[in-house]
Amino acid sequence: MTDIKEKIFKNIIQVLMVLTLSILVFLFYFLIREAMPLFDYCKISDFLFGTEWMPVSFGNELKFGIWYFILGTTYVSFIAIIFGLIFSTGIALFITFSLNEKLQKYIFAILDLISAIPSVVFGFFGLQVFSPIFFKMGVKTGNCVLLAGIVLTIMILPFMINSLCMTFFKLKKKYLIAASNLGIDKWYIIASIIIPESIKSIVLSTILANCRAMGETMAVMMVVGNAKVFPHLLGKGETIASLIALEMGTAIKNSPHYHALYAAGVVLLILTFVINQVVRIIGRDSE
Amino acid sequence: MKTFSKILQIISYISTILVVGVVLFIYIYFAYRSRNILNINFLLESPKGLVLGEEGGIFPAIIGSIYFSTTAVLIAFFPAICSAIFIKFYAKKRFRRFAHTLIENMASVPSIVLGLFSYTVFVYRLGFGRSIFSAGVALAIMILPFLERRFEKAFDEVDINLINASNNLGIHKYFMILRLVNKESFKEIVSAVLLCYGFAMGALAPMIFTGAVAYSAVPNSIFNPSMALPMHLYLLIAQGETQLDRAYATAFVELMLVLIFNIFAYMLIYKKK
Amino acid sequence: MKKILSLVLTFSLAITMFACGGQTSTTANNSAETKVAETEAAKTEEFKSNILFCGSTSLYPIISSLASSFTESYVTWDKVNSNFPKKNISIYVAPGGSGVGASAAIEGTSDFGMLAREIKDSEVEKLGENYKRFDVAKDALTVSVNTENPIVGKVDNMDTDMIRKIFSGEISTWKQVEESLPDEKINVYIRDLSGGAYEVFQNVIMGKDTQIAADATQSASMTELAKNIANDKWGIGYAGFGAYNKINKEKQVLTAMKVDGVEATEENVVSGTYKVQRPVIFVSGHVITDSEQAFIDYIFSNTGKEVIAANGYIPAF
Repeated sequence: MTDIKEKIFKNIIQVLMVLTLSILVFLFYFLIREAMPLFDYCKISDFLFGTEWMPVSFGNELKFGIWYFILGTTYVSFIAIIFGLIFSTGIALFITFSLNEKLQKYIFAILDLISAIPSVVFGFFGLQVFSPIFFKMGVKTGNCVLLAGIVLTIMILPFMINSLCMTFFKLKKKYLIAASNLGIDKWYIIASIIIPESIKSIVLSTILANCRAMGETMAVMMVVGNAKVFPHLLGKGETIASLIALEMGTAIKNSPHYHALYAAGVVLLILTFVINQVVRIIGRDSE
Repeated sequence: MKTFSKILQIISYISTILVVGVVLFIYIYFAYRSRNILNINFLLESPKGLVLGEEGGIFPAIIGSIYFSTTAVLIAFFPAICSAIFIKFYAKKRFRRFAHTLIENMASVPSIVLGLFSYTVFVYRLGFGRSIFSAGVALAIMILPFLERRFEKAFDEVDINLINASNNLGIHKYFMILRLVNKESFKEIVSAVLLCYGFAMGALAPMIFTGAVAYSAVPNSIFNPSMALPMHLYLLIAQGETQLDRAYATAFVELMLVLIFNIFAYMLIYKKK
Repeated sequence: MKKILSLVLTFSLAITMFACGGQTSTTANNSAETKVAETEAAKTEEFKSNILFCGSTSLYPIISSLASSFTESYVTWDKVNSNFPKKNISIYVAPGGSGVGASAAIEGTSDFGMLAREIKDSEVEKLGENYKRFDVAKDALTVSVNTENPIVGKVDNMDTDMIRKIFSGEISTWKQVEESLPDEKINVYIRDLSGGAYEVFQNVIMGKDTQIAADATQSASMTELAKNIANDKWGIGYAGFGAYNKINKEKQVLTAMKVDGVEATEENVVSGTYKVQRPVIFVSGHVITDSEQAFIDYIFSNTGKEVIAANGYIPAF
């Protein structure tokens, strides 16, 4: 009797697990399926490297170049991870080495809170607080790639700090107790041993955070300016995610525009996917 | 090396203060800016006014957001917990690694892409149209990997002796697992659900064209579209100047909801110890 | 491992087939014939208490506001008309774009499509013989510059050709517009593609062959667009009539140019002499039900007029 129950239980678990794990397959399948018809209208190289985006015809030629959006996405997320790198290393060190266990818990709770704050709220915050500052400094409308990068930094911090803390905790166990017994300054150990030892995992977690940063939509969309131009630090840009969020609502089903936005989604998905795999492979070698 | 260690120390203090400061500042700033608007009527009235949102409140949006999140959590819960159980208790080492890779990848799928997915599959192909359900699926896929990982963590913390002992006593595995879910890891599981609930509540990208609308009455079915807090906030901001006060208030309500869910989640797991 | 893999594959296959099946049935719905059959079936069915509007970002605030006050004052349908059953009023307003509004009405995924442009003949055809159109409002685009710009007082009129050259980037400094102006770069402000304004401006001013310069700044709403010009001494942009009046309420910060000698006034827009304008309409392809008619009557009431004006448009009735 219980054997049957055990079997049923295991099967249910298995089916639901398989369902979960196959979501990725569906995701790719359906997105690619919707994206493919675009390439009846335009070549894949024109799509990826074209610089003009004119998806709706007013009698003119349709153009589907997303190169500037790819650049915009990369640029914004690059700024975010550079800032993120500095801040997250700092905070992770602080959490690991300067706080007792109780305080650590509070900081982790705050980090969870940051990752739960709606991205629209972050966008709004950036728009109301930072944008006027940039405007005073002479940036047109105040919205720019740098601002988007700053807002994004706050958003990816919890993720970066969490993965860095894991590394630091391990190393702390390994070295710090011995070192403090010898009476060496804590920060000296950190600078001379722990940082050099964890360089690799710092780099990896930064690249992984880049995935997150590239996919962030609303906050970036609200502060990046959204112009279809080559992105500059203090100029406007547009990311793939914001392109989709802005235009999907207006794209008529099965029009080239619609397919193009799906194709842009596939590009974004593949970008994150590839980065993820690269990190995974490098990370595995070190184990 | 001496200066480097000094620099590190300074960076670490400054950045922690900065980030904690930013969070505090966000809360205080939004509270301050919404002080004139925020009252019980704002929470319990429908949006009104010649330009929608200029008067009235956000009640349908709050209820709508609860609908969206509940749907998402209900859809994601069983797949997540089953995957966690399988990976933790049944899977062999190689498969576990493979599964973790997939889940990591799933976690890094941009949320807007999930919106696209649900838009073609659920809104169009399966004919659900713009509805709470269509958006709920996208949100569910978004929170699924996070739920799964937290569930696994919850199981990690269970005393390994318990598992061994029960095996030795000849207790069936499923029985032991069910007990685990019900008793030993129950609090962690609930706390994980709460955290993800708050997370789903704030996400706009998956629902922006799959289920959220500019106006609806209080929702009565998950097969209809609905207002949602982040969408309402976004539209208030887009409409500009005149409604900014209300946008601040809406944002503050969202912030408070997220805070409440987080506090509950942490109270559950920290109190135990 | 093998077992699981095969499970994954079977499962994906099943879902895929399911989904594809679903798709063929929805695309079949496109033809006008099934559309009519559908609506007739709907008529004999029970009372329709849900109404869904979808489309233009220009019209949704108006309909939203009206839907809210309609629902608020009546709550259930029997209060609207004693012949109606006691059911909760549910009106949904989903913002999208004009194109989506039209296609949603055609596909029947939405009861009404909202458009902020003239409807195309091809769309009318697809909507079938029950096509109905409701003209709600008119919206005009002003060609506005910042009041601090020294051009104000010197030039008050631009012809289409000049505007086209400015927006396409062919003329890039104010000096090229008028000799006495400083050699400052012209900053162009436009709406994003989702606004029907883009299309109207393209059709009326830019024509088929010229594009708006790629470095023009896009704004997410008309209010934002007006604000952007007000913040930029050297800016120019097509602020909507409503946004223009709203931002100038306290202090004249924007100044509108005459277009081909015609000033952007309410009279000129209504009479049609001011050419940079568009209709704001909603359409449907099915027989209007009684409940829908009740709400439509409400839209075309005095309350409707008030709401339309408050949102910055000119009532068309």
